[in-house]
Amino acid sequence: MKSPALALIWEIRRRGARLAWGVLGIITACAMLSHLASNKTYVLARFEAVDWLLMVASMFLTFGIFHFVEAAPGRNWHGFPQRLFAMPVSTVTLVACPMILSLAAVEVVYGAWAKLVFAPLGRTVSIWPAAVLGVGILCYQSIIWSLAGYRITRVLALALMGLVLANVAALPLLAEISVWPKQTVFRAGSISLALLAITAVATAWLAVERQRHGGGRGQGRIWGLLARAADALPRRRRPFATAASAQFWHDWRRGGTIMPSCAAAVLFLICAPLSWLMRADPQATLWTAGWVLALPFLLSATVGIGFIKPEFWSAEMGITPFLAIRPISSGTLVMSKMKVAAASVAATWILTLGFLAAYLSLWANPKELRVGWTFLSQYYSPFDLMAMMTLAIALAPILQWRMMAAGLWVGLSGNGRLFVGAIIMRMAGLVFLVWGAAWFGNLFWTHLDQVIHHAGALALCLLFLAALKFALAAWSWRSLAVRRARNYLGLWWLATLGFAGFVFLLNPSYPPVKTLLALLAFLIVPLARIGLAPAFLDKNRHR
Amino acid sequence: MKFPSPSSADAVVALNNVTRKFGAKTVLNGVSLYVPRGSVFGLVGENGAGKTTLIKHILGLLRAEGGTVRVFDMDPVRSPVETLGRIGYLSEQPDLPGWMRVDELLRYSQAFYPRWDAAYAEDMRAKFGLNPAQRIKTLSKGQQAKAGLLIAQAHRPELLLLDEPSSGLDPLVRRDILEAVIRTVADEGRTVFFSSHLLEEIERVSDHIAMLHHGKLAWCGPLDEIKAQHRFFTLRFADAQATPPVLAGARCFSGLGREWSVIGNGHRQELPLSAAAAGAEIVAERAPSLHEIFVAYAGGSGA
Repeated sequence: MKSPALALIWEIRRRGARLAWGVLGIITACAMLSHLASNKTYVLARFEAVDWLLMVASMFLTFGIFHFVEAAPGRNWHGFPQRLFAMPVSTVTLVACPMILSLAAVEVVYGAWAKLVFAPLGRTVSIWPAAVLGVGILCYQSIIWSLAGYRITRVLALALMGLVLANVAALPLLAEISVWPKQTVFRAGSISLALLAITAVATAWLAVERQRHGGGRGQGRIWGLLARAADALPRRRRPFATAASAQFWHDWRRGGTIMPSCAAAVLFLICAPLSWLMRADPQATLWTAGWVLALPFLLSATVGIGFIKPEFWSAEMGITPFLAIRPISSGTLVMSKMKVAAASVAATWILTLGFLAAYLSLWANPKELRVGWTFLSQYYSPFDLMAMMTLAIALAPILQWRMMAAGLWVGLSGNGRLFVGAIIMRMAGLVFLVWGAAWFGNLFWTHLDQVIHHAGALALCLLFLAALKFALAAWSWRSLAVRRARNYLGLWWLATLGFAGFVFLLNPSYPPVKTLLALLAFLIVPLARIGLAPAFLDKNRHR
Repeated sequence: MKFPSPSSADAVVALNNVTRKFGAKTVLNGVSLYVPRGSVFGLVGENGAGKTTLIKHILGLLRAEGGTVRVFDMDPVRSPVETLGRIGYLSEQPDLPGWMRVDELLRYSQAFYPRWDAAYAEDMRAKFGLNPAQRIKTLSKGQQAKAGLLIAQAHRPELLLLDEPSSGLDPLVRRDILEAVIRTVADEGRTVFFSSHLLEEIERVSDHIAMLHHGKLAWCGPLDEIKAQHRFFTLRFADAQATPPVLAGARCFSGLGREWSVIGNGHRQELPLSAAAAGAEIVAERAPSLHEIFVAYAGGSGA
């Protein structure tokens, strides 16, 4: 290498080569499709949404290429590679290289999409998002380097940055409806973006410069205060009665408190002030209640990804030797995780329902809720409604627990590819579920007769899946303790009967639909996957 | 080289023809090794020789691809609870959970071992000067090693496994670790298996020793026997030798011109004869140090 800058560029290129190939592949495939379908308008209409989705994906990959950070082993640090601090290179060069390169890459990728994919489709792409993306990558790098020692703050800062820049990207839409002249809106927007970019670069440089001389290592004043407060709190001083209880304590401390803490933060820092500001609006009550009830599920969909791994905060999939050499069985380790998931879910629901009870009784406008209740009362007796509500309150945590624990066999396997594959499948499943629900919702009412006509085939499919589940369960539970299997099977039946009971109370007007839903109840609570978890953990423990 | 193989009843650890590959690289190649009960067994070898891999097989953290591993006459992969409950383990980087406090670490560890000796643990904690309220991540490297040693020893394990425990530590911590080894041995019937680069330490406390070289066992046996089997010779040739002379039975050469130093490879009678045949005269002979034997196998040339 002829210069340090070239060496840095080479390193970034080598680190991000796979992702770069991914970006290139996506753009090439889309460009080829665009050219092939450039004069077929009916095809274009179907492809365009996919193109936009893939464009967003390629941008994420591009950001990933320039995620130029390294973790310092054994320390709460994930920031600018510290090994470069000892190089005879100025901080300006260290910071400028990845920043300039990332800025250029983002613009090139955006330009490629505009010219190679969208232009053949006859779409003109605005230049404004390119500017926003450019500033976005600078801000992204600035945040990940500056907040290297502050994991949670960094996530929050990145989310906030994304939110702000998404709004700035929508400026052309705003300009259309704004009372100010278009030019003024864009001029103000451009100046803001330029200032933001300058601030990001300056912050990144100052932060890395400070880190280079021993500063900005996290554990700042706030964390110091928090640590002192934690020291003052009463601590467990009694010995643990059993190894299982010690392991539960360990797992609860590492992963159990995260979801309730996040729920508390969202409820009290976001939902409470917003709901207070909109307390007069009866529509807001429905929205707030809906989002509050959805919160535990959203949290388990995200927190659950980390929870199923052996160590929540580590990118490592392998179980640590410290844990692997504990003289307890893999079944006990899995059981501990399942119990922690249950405790975490219970704490989250106590917070959620507590907040909801306080909100609805103290400052919500319940007009719309009453309308909803009156509407439901036309179809169900008060007893049925109360029973359904009680069952819903009991079953919602089970559903949430399922989201946390069903993937344990993947997370504890130590197989990174299996884990990433499962996450992609989960995300794809969520998208498919939302899209499928919308599509099926329309189709259901317009083609109800056909749905009923095919109910038999659907029921057979569900029956086959249920049979497969039981067969897999019998195989996966064969090597586990009988007592443990019997206990879980009891709980499984209780939960499944609860779901079936809910379907019975819901009593859909069409009997085939009722049968389908009742069969679906047998597929909700995991059985085979729970049985697989100890065997997969064993593979991780004894590689 | 002949490797002793006591009956499985006497061996706390018995590895029989163990083979392990990582990708294309064979890290352990047909290793057979027996650790007698009550012994202090030292394992030496250069970096990457396979020492840590071997120890991980004993712990059951790695599954042998070929051969068998028996610990207390059990398979550590099939019976992890039974074997791990009788083992104390300390590695070069103890990987203790940094978020725990010292007293929490002790209470947590205690729950897993029914034979945990709380008084002994407290005594060691005080001796090591570990603050019970301090978080593990705030301890120095030496203190972390001491904390690791504490939880490895407090349940008075039948087998203490130490994987390069004193690497990068100051002499005071190294002394504590060696004392721990001695304490363990003082308890009748307990066994210590440890790997180290510090050959003086191994030589000081081990009664049995083995050397791994490129995944193969170079030698193994009681330390006295190993030392007795090797001899250090100083040879003087009639003419200056431009390259190290080739002598049957020699492991390692160093020297220049007419005078060369040689380590015999264990066959005591062979080297003097081949030296005489090559026209060399033995001017000095002595027992080599463990360091010299190690270098002869790890980095030396010879027949």
